[in-house]
Amino acid sequence: MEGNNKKPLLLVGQSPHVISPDNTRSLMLDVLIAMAPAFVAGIYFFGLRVLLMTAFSVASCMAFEYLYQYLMKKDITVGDLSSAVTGVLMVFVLPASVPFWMVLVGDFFAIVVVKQLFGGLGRNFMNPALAGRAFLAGWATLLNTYPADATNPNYVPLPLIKNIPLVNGQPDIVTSATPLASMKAGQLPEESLLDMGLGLESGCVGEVSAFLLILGGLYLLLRKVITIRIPLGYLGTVAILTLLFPPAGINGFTWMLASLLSGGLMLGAFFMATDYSTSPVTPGAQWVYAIGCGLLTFVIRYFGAYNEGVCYSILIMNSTVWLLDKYIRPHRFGSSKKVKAEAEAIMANIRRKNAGGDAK
Amino acid sequence: MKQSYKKIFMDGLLHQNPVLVQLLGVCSILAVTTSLENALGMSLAVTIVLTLSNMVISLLRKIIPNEVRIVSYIVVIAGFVTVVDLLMQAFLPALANSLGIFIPLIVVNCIILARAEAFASKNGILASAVDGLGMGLGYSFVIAFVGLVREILGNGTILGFEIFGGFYQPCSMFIMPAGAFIVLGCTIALYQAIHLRMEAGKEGKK
Amino acid sequence: MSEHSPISESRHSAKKPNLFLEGIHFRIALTLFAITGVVALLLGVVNGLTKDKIAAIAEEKAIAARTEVLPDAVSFNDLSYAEGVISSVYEARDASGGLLGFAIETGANGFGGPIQQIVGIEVGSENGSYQLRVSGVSILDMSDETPGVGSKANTSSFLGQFVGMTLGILTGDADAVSSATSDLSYDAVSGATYSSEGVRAGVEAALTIATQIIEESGGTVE
Repeated sequence: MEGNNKKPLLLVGQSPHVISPDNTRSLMLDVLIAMAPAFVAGIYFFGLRVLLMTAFSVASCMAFEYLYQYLMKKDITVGDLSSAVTGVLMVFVLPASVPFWMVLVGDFFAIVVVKQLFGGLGRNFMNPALAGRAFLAGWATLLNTYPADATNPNYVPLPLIKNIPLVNGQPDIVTSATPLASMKAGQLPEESLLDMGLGLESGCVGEVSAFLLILGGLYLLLRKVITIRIPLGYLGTVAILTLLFPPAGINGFTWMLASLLSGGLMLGAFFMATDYSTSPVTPGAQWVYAIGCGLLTFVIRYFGAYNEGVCYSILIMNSTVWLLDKYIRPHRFGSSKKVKAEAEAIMANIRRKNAGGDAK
Repeated sequence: MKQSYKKIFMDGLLHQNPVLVQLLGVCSILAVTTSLENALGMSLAVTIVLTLSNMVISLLRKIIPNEVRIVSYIVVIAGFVTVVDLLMQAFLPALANSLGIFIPLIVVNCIILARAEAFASKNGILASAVDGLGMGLGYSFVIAFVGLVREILGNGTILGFEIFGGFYQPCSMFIMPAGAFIVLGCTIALYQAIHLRMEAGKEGKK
Repeated sequence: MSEHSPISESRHSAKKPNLFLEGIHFRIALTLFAITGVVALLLGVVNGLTKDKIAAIAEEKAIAARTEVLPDAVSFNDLSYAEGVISSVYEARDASGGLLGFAIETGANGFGGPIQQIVGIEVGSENGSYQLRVSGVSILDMSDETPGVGSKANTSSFLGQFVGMTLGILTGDADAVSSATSDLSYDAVSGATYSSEGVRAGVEAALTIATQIIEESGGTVE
């Protein structure tokens, strides 16, 4: 990831000394491929504006990264495509109606403040795209207005380039309530479960089609870009909690499926929470991290002021990763609990002997 | 160790700035800087209390027994804060209303206790007054700067006057607590960058 | 033995000196006492100077808020009523002493805490029964609401929506809405559902309590 201008003749590195064809660029390409189905769905549901927004976002993310590294006289690493992934994810977590300047501000915060100021790729302590979205919460009206999607009878295509004007503080577009809004009120959404899975609902650009996001997630799993632990732990926690605690009068199983398919949960579980630099390294810590994400999402959705809790729960768990990695360590190779217990018994004996006690 | 008054004053204002260098009194800066007006009111109150308490503590420094010095400082500081609070409520009611709980909290503002302990209890009354004034003004310009930036970005106004004419959409993030941390962090980084550059320039001249 | 004498030799000396009076502790206590005494004296003086002025300002502010929601009122009479979200109820009378309405302070919960507001209610009478309508809503303190989001509920365009509403219209009673002379409806501030609801709940509580007061005194409310 890091390189020096002057390459030393002899490279002394830490183990493992394995040469792999995988590098950042190929990993990021896999992520981009996995996001493609949901991206196409986003264009289908919200119109060509999504295509333009994504192109704009990717270009500005890469430009910010290039400019920062150029001005700070660092190695230019735009080619690793990680900033392109951030650019796409940024649009995925925004409603299709946000003005272009908001995309630009979010990209700036994600790339320059969250990623580069903390040391660049691999050193950011929070998911850049989600942090960008959290920053944009400053324009709450624009961020919480969801345009009607193409399957809505009131659908009006969004203007391609023109920003949506504000009338009395409200964006002047046909809006639609998201399933999460009715679920916050303790009711099942109007959309059927199948519709929610396919994406026939209102929401952020990349989060509507749960099935296509699962497809992308499976691709990442097959390519071994991510492991099953974080998505499974995250989705499993939300599933168990919603199954156990549905609102009064609603079947727990239906409520669980609705909870899993709505909002940004699939996007968060497969693409956001699994980000390498902001998730733990060791398997045990990954489970704790994933369950924490699920628990916080559940708590925010049930008791918080916001409808959706995926963004903030991942950001909160991101900031605990250093702690999890520090305290939840795997056993060293070859050391089982039995061996450890024996070793401790021997050490205790030695201590007793040294202390002058009876060593009979 | 006689220091010139100018050096004491400049230490407070810049080189030993209570907020930017010593990182003291940060909680009050984060809390009251939602607008420039609040920031100015707070800076005025802190500067007055700091200067007065520094003077009185310097005056009493030979009388106050070492064993109960912290208690004595707090009593003196709390007395001045309450006086300022009552005077503000009586004569500047609008400002007292918007600063609310933060005025009584000046009592536990670390800057004031820190200066009492570190400076006023060891120096003469005039030096202590200069130190209080310098530190107070050092605190004031930082809090005013943070308040100004937050009000412009978060509300699109300066002292309540619209400045962008509807063109700029205020980002309410900046008047929420998260914005306070971001702006203060950037301010400290900016100061350190300028400071380091100036130090490097001095080295170069030698 | 007093806890003020940690020096143990003193116990063995023939003539026991009073360490408290002669020792260092006395000096410390006296100095501290003197400092607190002077500070207390100073506070007393300043409090005496500012007390009346502060009380006058508070009273002036409260009257101004009540007059804002009931501009025609000449005098306000505190009914000393406080229950639930209602913190005080004032009866407003005109120059001839007739009942004009009520100014009711409420503190219903918004997003971050209670929203202190004053609700003016006009009492009109017709055919032996009374009509209660909101004459104005004024926010006293909503500093717990998110600045720039929840605080948008403190605008004349939002608060003005309540003017003219009756309890029936506010709670969406079908008969009351259909018989209303003008189109009265309530829209929450977008993005600030909780703060809007806090204001609305306060207005509803005020209308309810005003109705109750009229009915308790034997009147009927339409």
